[in-house]
Amino acid sequence: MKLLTESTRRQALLFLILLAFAVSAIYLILERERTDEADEQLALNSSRIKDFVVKNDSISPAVLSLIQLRLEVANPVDSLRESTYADFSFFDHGGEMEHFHGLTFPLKLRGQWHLATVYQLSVEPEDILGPLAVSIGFTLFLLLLGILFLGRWRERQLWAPFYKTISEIKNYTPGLSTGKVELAKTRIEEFDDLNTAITRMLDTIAADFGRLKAFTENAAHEMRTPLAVLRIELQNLLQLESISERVTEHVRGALFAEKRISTLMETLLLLAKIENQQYKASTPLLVAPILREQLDLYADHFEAKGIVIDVSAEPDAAVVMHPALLELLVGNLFRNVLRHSTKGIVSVTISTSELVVENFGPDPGMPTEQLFERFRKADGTSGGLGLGLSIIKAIADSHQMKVRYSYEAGKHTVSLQF
Amino acid sequence: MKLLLIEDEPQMLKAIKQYLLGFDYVCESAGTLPLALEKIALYDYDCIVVDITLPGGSGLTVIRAVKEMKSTAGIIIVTARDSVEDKIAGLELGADDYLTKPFHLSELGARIKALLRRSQFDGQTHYQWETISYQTEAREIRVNNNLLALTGKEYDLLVYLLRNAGKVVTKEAIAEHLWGDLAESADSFDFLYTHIKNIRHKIKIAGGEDYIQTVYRIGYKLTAIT
Repeated sequence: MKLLTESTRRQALLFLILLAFAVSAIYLILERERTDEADEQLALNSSRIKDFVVKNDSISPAVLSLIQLRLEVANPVDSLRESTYADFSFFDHGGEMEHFHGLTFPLKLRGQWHLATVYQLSVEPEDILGPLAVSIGFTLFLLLLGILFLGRWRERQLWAPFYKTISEIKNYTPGLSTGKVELAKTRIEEFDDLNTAITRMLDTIAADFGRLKAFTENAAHEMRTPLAVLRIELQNLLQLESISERVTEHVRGALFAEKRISTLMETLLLLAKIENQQYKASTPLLVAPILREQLDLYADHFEAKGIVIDVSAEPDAAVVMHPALLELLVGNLFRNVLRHSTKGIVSVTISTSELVVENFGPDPGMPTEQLFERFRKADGTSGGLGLGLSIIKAIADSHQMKVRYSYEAGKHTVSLQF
Repeated sequence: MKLLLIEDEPQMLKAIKQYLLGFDYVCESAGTLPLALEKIALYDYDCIVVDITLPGGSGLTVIRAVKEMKSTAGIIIVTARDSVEDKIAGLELGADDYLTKPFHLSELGARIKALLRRSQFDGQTHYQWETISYQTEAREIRVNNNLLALTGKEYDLLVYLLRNAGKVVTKEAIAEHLWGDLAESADSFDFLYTHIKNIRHKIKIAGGEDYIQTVYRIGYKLTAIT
């Protein structure tokens, strides 16, 4: 959830609780005010009746037309009863249930104790108080809503530098972004602290990245030359007329190891370069011609292994990729097929959205996604370095493509979504 | 034919010279950029092999200087820096070929020879070795003037051997030349064996001698029959 949304949500919740309390309080106060008023009126009526009875020992119809009164004959004991307020209801003449508020008090009339009750129709709270509370509540609600939106706007202003910093960092990719990240000065100390810390961190990352790149290039240069000397010297040794079979054997072994080191170094450097985005391309490249070119190169090998490649390619399928990388990608896919495929048909499908290679081969014996890791080999005895799929993955990752490898019942499927 | 090797690593220089000794080239060398520039100003070369990273500057300067003098010398860049930009820059300046260290000596040998042909006959590439002649445009090889019916790979293989005639060419070097990255595959050597067998047979039918000598477990060598 976004910071501002969360903040607004909390504030709104608080406001709702406040609103509920306020409306309830208003309701209760009004209700009490109303009851007090009614009680006062009843007390006044009761004292009028009492006065009248004391003077006349009777109740005139004139009084009864003004005051609603009910008389019940009572025991003399009831003369000690306090005056009590009570709510009651009964059906009026129209047969409708009505609610009343009354005051019951003892009254001695013509020598007989009665319990007299003065009462009046009580106004239902919903009738008056409801609308009143609602209108007050609504006004309050509008007011709080206004405060809420004002608060949101104010917070957005306040957090603006923070959001700017976030978008700057989001756009930053080490090695790709040119120049330094400039985080503008704000008027708020905390944001300035944050920006300083981030700038320092990004500078370190950029410097490390630069060093890594330089190391890669230096390692390449510094190691390739001695390796080249090693290879050339060994090859010159083989040119000697007098070389014995035993020496030849040793030279062969040394050349084999040299070749392995060279290949390993080349491949690791290649991976670093791909990951550093050193192969840039901006124009789409047709996939089919490169696929056929690579297929021709390996035709002998496929034939020897009894593998038939079934290509179905959309002629205008294209990807934005450096030609060297596409060649490498396709070449690696084919080399994998060659190394791990058993006899049979290998199907290669290219559409505008994906490249799929399906072949039959033994169970890799481990979860297929692990094979994308460097130096992971399903079959320890195969001559490969275990970097083929890593290269494919690195190329895919650097081009925002998805690569998937699945194995099911003898069938391997590697697919690349353009 | 005159060759200039510009390379700062003395051992590398010595070893390349050693290999090229058997061919009838006059090999000169320069270990630094100023020395290299001095030499190309003073003498005419048919082929220049130049390392890009040199003490005192970039090998690209040499290429620029050679091109400014309107020299017809073929230029091969040999470099430890395998960057696409370098390659493009070098080739755009007018270099003819590009080789990344470490390389097979036979590969360098073949490329030098290919360039020398190109520059000597202004593109008319006709080459003769013993009774074998070949033309690279038509991709034709003749023995005693009889055309050999070779497959693409057989042609590439034989030309590679011809360009390194008299030298032992390792199986690894041939495999890499023919199949690139797939050279490591065990099958490659089997194909190589088959191709060699076929070539021998075809040369024999055309009336040639068995020039291809097998060097046990190492590779092959094209030897003149004396």
